[in-house]
Amino acid sequence: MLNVDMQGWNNGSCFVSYPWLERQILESGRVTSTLKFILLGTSKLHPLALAVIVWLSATIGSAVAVDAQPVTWEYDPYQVQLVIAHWSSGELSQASMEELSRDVRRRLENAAGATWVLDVQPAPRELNARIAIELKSVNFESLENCLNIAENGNKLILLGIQQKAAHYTVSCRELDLETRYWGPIGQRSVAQREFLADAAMHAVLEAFSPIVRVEQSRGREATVRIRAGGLIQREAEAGVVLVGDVFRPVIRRRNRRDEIMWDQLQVVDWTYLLVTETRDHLATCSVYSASRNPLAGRVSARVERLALKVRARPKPTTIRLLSRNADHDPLQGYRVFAKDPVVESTNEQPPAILLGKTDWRGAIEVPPASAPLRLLYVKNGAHLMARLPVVPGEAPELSARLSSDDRRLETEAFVRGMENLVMDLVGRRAILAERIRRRLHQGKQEEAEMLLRELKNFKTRDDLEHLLVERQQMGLGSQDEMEQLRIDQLLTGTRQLLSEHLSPDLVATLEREVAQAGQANAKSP
Amino acid sequence: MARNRIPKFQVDTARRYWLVSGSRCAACFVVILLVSIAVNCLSPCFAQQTAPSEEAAGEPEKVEPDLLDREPFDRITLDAENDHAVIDLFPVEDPPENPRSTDRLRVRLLDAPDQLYEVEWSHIDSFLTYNQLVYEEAQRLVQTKQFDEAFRYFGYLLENAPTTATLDRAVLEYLFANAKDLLEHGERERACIVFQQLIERDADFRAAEVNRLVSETVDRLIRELVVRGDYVNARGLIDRAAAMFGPERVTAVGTWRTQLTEQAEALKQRAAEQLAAEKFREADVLCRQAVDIWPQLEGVSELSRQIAVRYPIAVVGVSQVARQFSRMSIGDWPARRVGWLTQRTLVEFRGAGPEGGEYHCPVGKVSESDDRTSLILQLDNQLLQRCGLRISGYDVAQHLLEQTPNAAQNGRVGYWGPLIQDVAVEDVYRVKVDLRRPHVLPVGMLQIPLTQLRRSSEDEASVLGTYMPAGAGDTEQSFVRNPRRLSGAETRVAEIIERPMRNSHDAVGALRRGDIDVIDLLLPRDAGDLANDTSIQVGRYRLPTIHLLIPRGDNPFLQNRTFRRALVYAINRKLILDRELLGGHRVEGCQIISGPFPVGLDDNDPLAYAYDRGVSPRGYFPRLAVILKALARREMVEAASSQGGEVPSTPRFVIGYPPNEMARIACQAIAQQMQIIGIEIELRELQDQDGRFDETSVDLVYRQAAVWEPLVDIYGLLTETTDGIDNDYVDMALRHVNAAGNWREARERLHELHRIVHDQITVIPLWQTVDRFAVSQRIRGIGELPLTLYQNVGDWTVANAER
Repeated sequence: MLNVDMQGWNNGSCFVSYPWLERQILESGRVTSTLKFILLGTSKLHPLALAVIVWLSATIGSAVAVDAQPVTWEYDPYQVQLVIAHWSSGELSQASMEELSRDVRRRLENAAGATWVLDVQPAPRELNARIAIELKSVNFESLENCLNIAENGNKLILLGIQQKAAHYTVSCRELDLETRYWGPIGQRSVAQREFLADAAMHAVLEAFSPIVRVEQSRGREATVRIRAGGLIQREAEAGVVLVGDVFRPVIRRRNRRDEIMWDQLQVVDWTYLLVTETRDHLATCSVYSASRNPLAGRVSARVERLALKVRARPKPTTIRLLSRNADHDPLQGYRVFAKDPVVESTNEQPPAILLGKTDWRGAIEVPPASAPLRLLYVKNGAHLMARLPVVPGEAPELSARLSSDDRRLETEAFVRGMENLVMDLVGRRAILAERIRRRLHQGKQEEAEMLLRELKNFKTRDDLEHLLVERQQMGLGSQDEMEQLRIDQLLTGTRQLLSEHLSPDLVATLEREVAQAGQANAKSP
Repeated sequence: MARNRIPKFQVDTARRYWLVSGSRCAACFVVILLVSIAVNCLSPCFAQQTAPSEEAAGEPEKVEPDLLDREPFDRITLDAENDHAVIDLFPVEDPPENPRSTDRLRVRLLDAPDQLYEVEWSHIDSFLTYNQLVYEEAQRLVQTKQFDEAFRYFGYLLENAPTTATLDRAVLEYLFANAKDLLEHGERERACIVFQQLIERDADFRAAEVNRLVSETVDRLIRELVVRGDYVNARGLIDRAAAMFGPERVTAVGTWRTQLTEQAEALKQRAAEQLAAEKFREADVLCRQAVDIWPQLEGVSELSRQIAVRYPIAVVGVSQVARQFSRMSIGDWPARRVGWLTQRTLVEFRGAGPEGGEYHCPVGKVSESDDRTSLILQLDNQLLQRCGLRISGYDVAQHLLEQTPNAAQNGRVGYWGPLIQDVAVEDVYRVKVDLRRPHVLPVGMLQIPLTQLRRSSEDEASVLGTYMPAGAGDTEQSFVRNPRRLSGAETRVAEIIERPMRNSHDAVGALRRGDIDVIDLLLPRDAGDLANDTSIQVGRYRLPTIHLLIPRGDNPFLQNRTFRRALVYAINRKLILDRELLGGHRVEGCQIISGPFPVGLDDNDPLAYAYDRGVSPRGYFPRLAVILKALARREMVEAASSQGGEVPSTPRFVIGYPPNEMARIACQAIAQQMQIIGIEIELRELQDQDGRFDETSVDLVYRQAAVWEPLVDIYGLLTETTDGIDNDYVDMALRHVNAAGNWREARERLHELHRIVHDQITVIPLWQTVDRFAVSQRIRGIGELPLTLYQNVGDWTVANAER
């Protein structure tokens, strides 16, 4: 079925957009250069003409790409390229490595089922040592230079095996070719050669991150389509997506020539999708993000919103809070609370746990928890600064840039002090007023007058106003507009407090009462 | 003038006034209601209030004054026809001695002074003048054993009516009865004084009985003092008794003189034997005891001199034994004291300078760059070698680097860590520290105990101070000269013994007896009392200390700021300081404080730069405290209800205090005052366990803190416990202080910190004391205004110790 969005008529012609069409054709892999040309040249077409083109494209495409099968995202298996490197003191011969490769391949194919099309190959000589010993140093450029990366590949997985004395260290890292996103390095150690293949298999499966495509995003909810979701036969398979899995969104853009603009690849910071429900090859996710609407933006065929699965590891992650200013000063002393996401089934609000305060580097360690995703609430004084979703263990350290809040906190400290002062003053004034009235009632005019003098010595509203102004003049301002706004709100609130509760009327009333009582006493014999 | 006949009298004898309790309750309710309404506007949770347990002090109960306090008057008692009415009259001038029954007495009544009445003598049963009334009252008081009161009445009569019949006899009987009564109540000393008065008035009055009682009493008194070991007073009593009563009347005087002389002689002999055996410490103890018992004993002074020459010992009576030694300790008085005796630091505080403290390096020189962004330490290689101290610039550098970001464990760095940019060593003994930003007092970071720089156990002695620990008994701690001390001069005291004293009074007694030579910390009120004692020199420490209550743990009440404010308002700090600690003496510099800094001794005190005098200490307002307590509880109940928790109805705390007298007295007074507003307090003297005081189970800790250099010390004081009140504002203010680039900024930011701590009450400031020590004439060289007792210990000498 062909869907054409008709956006309106202009000067007798119809402006049309064809995101669905474009995506279907591009994804089907049947686009020829001729058709691309046609598509690129059809910015203004009558719908009927467009329909003809589409029909033609299908016909021509099938004629030209006779060997290609019509495949969609959910039925397209992952093209996985596994590169194995080894570094040993001699025990692992070439033959045994080949045997190991075969063994690993066999095991992986069993584990992945139909979701993977696996290509296993030895590491090129130039990269062998680096992959086996120092996997972290391998980057995309070095791979491009030395390795024949499959054009239509989805995943490139580097597996390094290093033999050290009596044990083997297996290192593995995934490069998602669609997003060029490097996954974390996983490591395993085995002592016996017999377990090496098994360890390698598990390392690869752990490194592998399923990918989904965001179909729809509305507010805090998104629907995603699972790659190769239609090929999954059992839950244990590699590409399976389950409730509770966490995905990190990546936005990929193409230019008008349909080329991916790698320099504009955007990993959406501090944003995660938490799978809450799966249905066939679709999944519903809750969106947790530090931004208000992280997946917003114009839906277009040239903008793809993908998401890679994030695996939580039982390791802590250090979060560093830095200021947005030019020096990126560390934000020290900010209080960080952690909370698990709301469980849909129970709808209970999990308690927030205080993790501590950021240290002098602005850093705080977030320990792993039962749920992979944790929500961090950053507070400074009474003000909530940010809400940061984090998967502990995903990375050893993450940095967040927040606007500095120190001036506002300074104001808050002053305002809290003023509130205390006002509260105590109101209490003392009320107590003293009652004592004065009691003295008057008892006919103790002199004592009442003495207490009245004491009351008059209390700080007045004007005194406190003066304090407020004086403190403001000493510097309670900020260059940051938002911070200044918050400061102004705090000070305005304090002024209201003063005017509402420290009325000079009380003193005047008591003065009058004391004077009247004095006159009454003077008249009486 | 009207003349009336007096018919029957209606005498109002119930001339007493009590405040009606019902009206007090009503007043109390109104106050609470008013405050409730007022404060309710500030906080919605203050809608209801419970009435406080205490309210405005009631009107004083009116009682008819004592007879002696009234203007003189006469009194008549009428006959049965007039219901035996008792009428008080204005004094009657020249009343007839033997009136006829038909005569009339013209009187003015006290209750109706404008009216003149006439009373027929036939209707008067009795007529008593004022002096007769006083005499009767005195006799009545003696019979009811109200001797102190009776003393006033007899005193009046002896002065105003000495010719009163039988007055002398009555006075003698009164004194005798009073003395016997005092003896029955165990007040023997006072009984002796009364007996002395009795004998002075009439030596023959019941002579046999009086002599027996006096002799028995004096004997028992001396015996009690000897058993207590209070030989000074025992000797004094022997002399006084001999002078007061004469040796013939009190036979115990001679007996005791002989007995004490023999006892002292035996001790002297034993001391001489110990000296001969070169057991100096034992000889010193025995000789001190002999001197204490009978100082006039022949040869004992010479023996004392011989011991002092061969092995001078100084015994210091301490308020609290040190369980750890730390020259840098802020809140542990004994640790700091002994730290100055046994520890040296790379850079040492010497006193106040024009800008903050003055420091010097005992093992080299320290200088700062002009822009205060780097610090250079040049170690004195020759001095180090001479003392056998094997430290170099690398040891210092390593220690500093361990505090820096890259080396610190889990990012836990101290005050200085974030400031250090780089540390470089040049020519082995020169260390250059580059700072990330200018700091006003970077030299503070080099206050590193040399014990932390030592490389091996061989360096143990060389990193120690002038003295080194020589062992600790159950109670005492002993320190001997350190042969490898840094300071080259010869110390003259061979050994310093620290002996704990139960209280300041005992310590003063021990000092007077000669058991100890120095008292490290006098209770301020005792210091005032000792001012006139010429045998004892009372000295002052140069810098004052501040006293605080530090909340700790997770007691929900103490986590509430409003409640903490209630605590401050509930403690009458001025009263505790003035009455309990200062004993009514006025001591310059002792005053209540509003923040965690010393207020200094005057406006120009250079180390009081952190104290903002614009922040006044909160006053004593118990009624406001009750209201705030109720308000705090309401806040807590609301917070707890959202989490399904409960809040105890009555706040209950444990206050922990160090085992010294000043803390004990202060905490007892604080506990009493908190109980007045309905807070239950348990006091716990922090006992040492494994060398540390267990503070984990207390909610408030009493601390006497020496904040000498506020800029540096405040960080340690406010962050010394990890389970104290965690407050964002205080943390922010501390960061600002640390980041101050010049002294003006530092002062402003410390004032800001002062204000915030005052507002947030993360610690409860109590008062500042100017602390004093006392020295007997035996020890010299402590110096004028030392920072700590042992600051000049190298100059100490023992009198008569010169060869």
